[in-house]
Amino acid sequence: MTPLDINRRTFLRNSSYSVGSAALAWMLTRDLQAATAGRGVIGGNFHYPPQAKRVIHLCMAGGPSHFETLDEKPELARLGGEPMPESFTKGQQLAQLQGKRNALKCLAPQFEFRESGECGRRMSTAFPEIASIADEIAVINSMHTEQINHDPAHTFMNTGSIIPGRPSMGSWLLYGLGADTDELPGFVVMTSSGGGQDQPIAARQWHSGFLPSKFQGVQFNSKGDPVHYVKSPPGVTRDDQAALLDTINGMNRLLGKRVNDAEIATRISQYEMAFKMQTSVPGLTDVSDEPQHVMDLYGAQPGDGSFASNCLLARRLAERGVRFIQLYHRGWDHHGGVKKGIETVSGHIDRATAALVKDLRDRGMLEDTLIIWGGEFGRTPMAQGSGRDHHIKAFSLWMAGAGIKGGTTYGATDALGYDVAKDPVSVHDLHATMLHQLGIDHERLTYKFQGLDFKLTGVEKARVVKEILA
Amino acid sequence: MRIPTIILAALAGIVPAGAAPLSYNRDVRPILSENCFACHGPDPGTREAKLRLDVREAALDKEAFVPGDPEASELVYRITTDDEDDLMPPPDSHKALTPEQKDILTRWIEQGAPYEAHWAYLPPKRPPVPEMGEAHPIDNFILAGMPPGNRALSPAAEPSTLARRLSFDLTGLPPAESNIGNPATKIDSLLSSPHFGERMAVFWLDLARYADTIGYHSDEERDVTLYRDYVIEAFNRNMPYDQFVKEQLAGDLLDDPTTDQFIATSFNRLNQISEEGGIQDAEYITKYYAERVRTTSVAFLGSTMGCAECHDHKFDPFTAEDFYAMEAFFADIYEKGAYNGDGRYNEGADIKAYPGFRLSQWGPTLDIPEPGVAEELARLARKKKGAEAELNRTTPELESAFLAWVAELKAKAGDGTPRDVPMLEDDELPLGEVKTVTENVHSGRLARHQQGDGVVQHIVDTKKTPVTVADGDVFFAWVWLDPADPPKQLMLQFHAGGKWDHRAWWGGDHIPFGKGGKKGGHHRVGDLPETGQWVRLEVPAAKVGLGGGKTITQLAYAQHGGTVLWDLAGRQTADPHGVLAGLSDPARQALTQDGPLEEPQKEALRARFREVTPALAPIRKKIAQITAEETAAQKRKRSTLVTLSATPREVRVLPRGNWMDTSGPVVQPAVPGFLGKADPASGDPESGARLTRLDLAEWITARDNPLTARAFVNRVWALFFGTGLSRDLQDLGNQGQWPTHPELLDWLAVEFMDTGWDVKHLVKLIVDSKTYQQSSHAPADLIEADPYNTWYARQNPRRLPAEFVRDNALAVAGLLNRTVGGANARPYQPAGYYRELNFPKRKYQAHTDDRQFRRGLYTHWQRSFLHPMLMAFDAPAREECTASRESSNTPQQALNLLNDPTFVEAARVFAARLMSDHETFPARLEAGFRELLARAPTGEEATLLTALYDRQLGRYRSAPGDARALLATGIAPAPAGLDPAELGATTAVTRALLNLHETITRY
Repeated sequence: MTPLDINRRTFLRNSSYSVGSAALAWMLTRDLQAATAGRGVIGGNFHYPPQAKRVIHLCMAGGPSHFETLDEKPELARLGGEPMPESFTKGQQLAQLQGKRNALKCLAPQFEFRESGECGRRMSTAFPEIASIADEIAVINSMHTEQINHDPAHTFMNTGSIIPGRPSMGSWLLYGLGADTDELPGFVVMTSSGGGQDQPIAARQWHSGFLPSKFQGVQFNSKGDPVHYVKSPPGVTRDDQAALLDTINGMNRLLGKRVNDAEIATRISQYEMAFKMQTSVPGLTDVSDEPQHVMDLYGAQPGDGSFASNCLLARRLAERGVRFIQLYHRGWDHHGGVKKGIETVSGHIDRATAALVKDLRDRGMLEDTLIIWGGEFGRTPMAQGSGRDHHIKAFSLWMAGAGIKGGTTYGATDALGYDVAKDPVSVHDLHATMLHQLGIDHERLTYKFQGLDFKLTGVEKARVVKEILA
Repeated sequence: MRIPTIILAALAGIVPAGAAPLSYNRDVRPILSENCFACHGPDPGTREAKLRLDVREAALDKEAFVPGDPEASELVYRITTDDEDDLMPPPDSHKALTPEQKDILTRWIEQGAPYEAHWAYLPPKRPPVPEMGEAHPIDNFILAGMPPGNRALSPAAEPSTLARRLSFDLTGLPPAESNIGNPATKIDSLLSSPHFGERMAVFWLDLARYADTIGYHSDEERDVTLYRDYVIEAFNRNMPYDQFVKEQLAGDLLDDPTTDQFIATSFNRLNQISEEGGIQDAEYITKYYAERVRTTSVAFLGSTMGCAECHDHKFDPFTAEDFYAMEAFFADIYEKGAYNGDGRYNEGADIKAYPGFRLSQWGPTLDIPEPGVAEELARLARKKKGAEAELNRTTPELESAFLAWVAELKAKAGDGTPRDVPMLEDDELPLGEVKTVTENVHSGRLARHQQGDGVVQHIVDTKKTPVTVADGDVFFAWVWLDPADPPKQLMLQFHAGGKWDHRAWWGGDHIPFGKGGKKGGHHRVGDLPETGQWVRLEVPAAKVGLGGGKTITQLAYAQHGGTVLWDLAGRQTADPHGVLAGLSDPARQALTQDGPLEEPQKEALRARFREVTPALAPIRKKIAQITAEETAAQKRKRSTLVTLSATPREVRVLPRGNWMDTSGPVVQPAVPGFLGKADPASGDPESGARLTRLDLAEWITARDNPLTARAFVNRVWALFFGTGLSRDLQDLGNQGQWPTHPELLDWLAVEFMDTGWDVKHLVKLIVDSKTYQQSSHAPADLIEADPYNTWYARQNPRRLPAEFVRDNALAVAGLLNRTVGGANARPYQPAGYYRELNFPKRKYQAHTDDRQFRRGLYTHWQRSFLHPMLMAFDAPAREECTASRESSNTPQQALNLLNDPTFVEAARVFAARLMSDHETFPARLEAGFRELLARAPTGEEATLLTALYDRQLGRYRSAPGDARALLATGIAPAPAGLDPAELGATTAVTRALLNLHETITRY
């Protein structure tokens, strides 16, 4: 028996002296939560039957234009070059166009849309491969957000708050569900770029905030060591490192015999996992075991650090039990030259995105993998030269897999794609829907911090977008 | 997993200890606050059925209960009913009362339903010390809090354990061997060590959200290290805490502030700021103000006001108006919201009104010259004055040379022959820190060395003497292309008429500027010139759209890739005014007019003559050198952002925190209403004077402020035990924790204030106690009886904070640089770790001198990408005020200690030292163990480590290359004469030692 396998009776007999029992319950809950990293606080007690086991978030960083991707606006085409009707923009927040408030002009959508799939949804011809999975995806054309600049908008999309220090959605999932792997981190982030100016991305986007830091996302690098410090020092072979690990753990076990400290047992298991990671991470990132037709499907070259390679790695991570996989592609900030920018970014992401969905489908994994594709906000119908400015009143994204009703289109914007006209979906609604698919009631995944029950979905009422669910 | 799930369920069955009178604060309030106040509490916005239960009168008014009569009480019915429609809390709240909680509420009503004000909002009074037979008040309080019949502390810790504990807790460093002796003298020496301030700074800097970068978006650097050093120094000098608070919040408003008091005000400027393109000034000002309220309330008051930004607090009596009134205290801070060029400083603010300060890229800034710089500058000024006098003296020889020079110029100006007129000479080259060479130059002393992967350019400002182009002018520039690294393209750009739309280029079309533009804006002259020799690029001015009469204000050299030297550039012109370039207008006129020169004209010409005549070259060179020395001396300074007071901005209550909604009322600075009132400095509460940050600071540090001393004392207690007396270090409010030892907390808070907010006294008091000095090795039955150590019948083992994990390894290796204070340090960091940063792109250069081995708290603190080692060991990014760190236990920590070059290098240097000092492996092992853990290895431990040693010795004997590779880690020199195989094997052992749980834990 370890010292902390507490005997219930003695515990009860002694616990009510100098601390209020409510306070004690609070402490117990908190420590219990912190202690069960492997399984998560939900354990097996899902609030709903879970559809998804994992999430892949394809974060199109920079703010994809809905006009060139998912939201067809013929009226905007008609008004291209004309002044933007003032009724739309009066009193509204603008970003870089603020100084040109009095000379706003409409910019016509730069690509044709075409009926796609059996669902017949009209989709941009700039993304032919994504159009080819039209029947797999549910598009939401009525997203809106609160933050108009990249950094806080990403923070809001990832954590549901604009205040730094809140946990990101991947951390919430690990806290709730744990991971199905003890060889890899449960929350993995990768980045790529190409197609526009690279806006910076901060590690706070995958930080665990006030949740214990074991729930933090781990960034995999496309160059150098895939994970920091995963490689043994020079001159140290795998056997050397194994001998060292055995010694360290042997020493720690001896310590554990002399000292009552529950952390020692945890330390030993963390060293075991670290050693496993030293093997499994290089194995994961070495894609030489992938057949050529798979490499071709994604359009990936081994080790090129591209979005395509990251998509392939995302599938491999999903296969190995990683809970939340987040791929950032930094190429969507098209203030100028949106047409050229979209063409370039499509070259980077179109084929690989569709390949990931198809590959998962063919392997039977799409049914329990939730895919979210979208950025931190949309772009203006108004021109900023040959491009578009940031826009928060309306934008589009799509979801696929894990109980999502493919072929649906939900919500709509007004004639010029400026504001949501029907069925608005907030970022918190998106989070609630994601959690729902994982079997979690967003109201009931909470963590006590600063005396309050914090949730991913914040204090406002959030709603599961049932209409896109199968 | 620590606690079986069953315990949670079992809690429902806890029977309270007897039917003793209930305490509202201890027993009842936590239940009501957790389950009821969200809908029946202070926030009218979400209040249901107009019922509030947090105020007794209001609850009685709505007949929520009948004191003394549970059966007649609606509340009791509501919490016990089976009817789902009536049940409280309602099922859809996902909250439920346990039978025990229902019982408490019922009995509380039975006992008359007394309320108490929340403990933390009542000023602390000094309670009597219980008489438990101990000498130390803390021990008496602690013993009194234990269950009867079980009242005992654990035995004192082993001297070696205690030495290690005291040393880490008071300085963050392992004990010196000489320091394992009498605890009393040890404590005094540790408290007077300069490292005490460093240890306390690690705690305070989390609260102050100190970091070295701006945080948002580009996350650029800005220097505030002087503030960090101020904090270290304040703790070392034992500055009274009330003064420490006042100086940080309002040092600038004190009478005749000292330099240090201005440095202290960096505190208000440590918030994250943004310079992202497209951000709105007003929106970011809103963010900064709200952040300051969050920081101020948590850091000083131990209260969470953040929720009140959007609505009245649901659990504490903070209102939204309180929040914005608190913001208004900070509305005078001289700053802007958007640091991208669009932002505006406070109305009417002018830095000239604040002598001694300047506006840097990030706002008001104070420069502190290094010691001796002022004297140096004075000396240089005297020297320069003498040299200038020499330059300006007149001799007959100079005068005749001058007249000859004038005659020559007059002749040139009149003859109409085209000549080269420089636009860019050596004098212009050092602009903007450019790299220059003196070896391979075309003319003069310098040539510009320009190198890069993509576009590289250098812009020269000719604004001082704009160049007016004449018809027929030809531009030229001398270049030397490196044959080993030729560029793909060269470009000359001219800025005229407010635009850069005049470009000539050679080679391939790679540089984006003007690409695809009209002719003069993008004129291709021809192929790239020959490499390896000085070549003159030429292009007629007309080809780049610059006809006669156009004025050029700037010139830029650009290239794509490669290495190029650039030298003299200018134009070939027949324009007489052009030939006379460099002369002032009156001087030029004088030379192109007929007739004799007048005296003012002569003076103007003499000034120019002194600048160019070879006769005065030596003295000019001397002056240039003095100027260079002055510039260098002026750079020997440190800078920090400071708080200056300017016209306050208007602050309104923002409905739901929306910065665009200006419908809310304007508010004046005020402290939260339920906590009382702050008085203006004038002393006359009725004067109507606007309250200042200093008034806020005075109110925070007033003797009757209920929160300030408690919050600080509670956190200091946690530094030495791992847990606070009230467990939630962030929040003492309604949702915080009833203290395990409320009387002790209050006693300490009063003692702290009564001794003049004496921090070292407080610390000494705590570490002097038996409670602190007792063993952390508790028997299983004690852990079983009190798993969370709420009795403090033992010490808590604690993992070292991130910074000290590093310091410990470097210290035992003998590598640690113990310099206190100074600029940041850059330890090894994985390559490319900053690749996601942009505007500008960042390249991290680890220090390669002894700055590499500085203490962890000096590590460059990049908010968006904190150093991976600090992050792995739970150091916060300091984007926000942080009152407590998690103490996690993760595989990343293991990977870090195993493979981070910092720890590998420490291990090999440690090993080398052990080998040099001791002859045999057993002796080395014994010594290493003692230095690291202050104890000898047990037999079993020695067996394990010796086996590792033997294995690695065999390995490295057969593969000496591997040993050498391991021993090449890091920059520390390896001592000569040690056998690589032995050293490699010993290093394997020291790596094991540095990875031990015991090494990174203080017991």
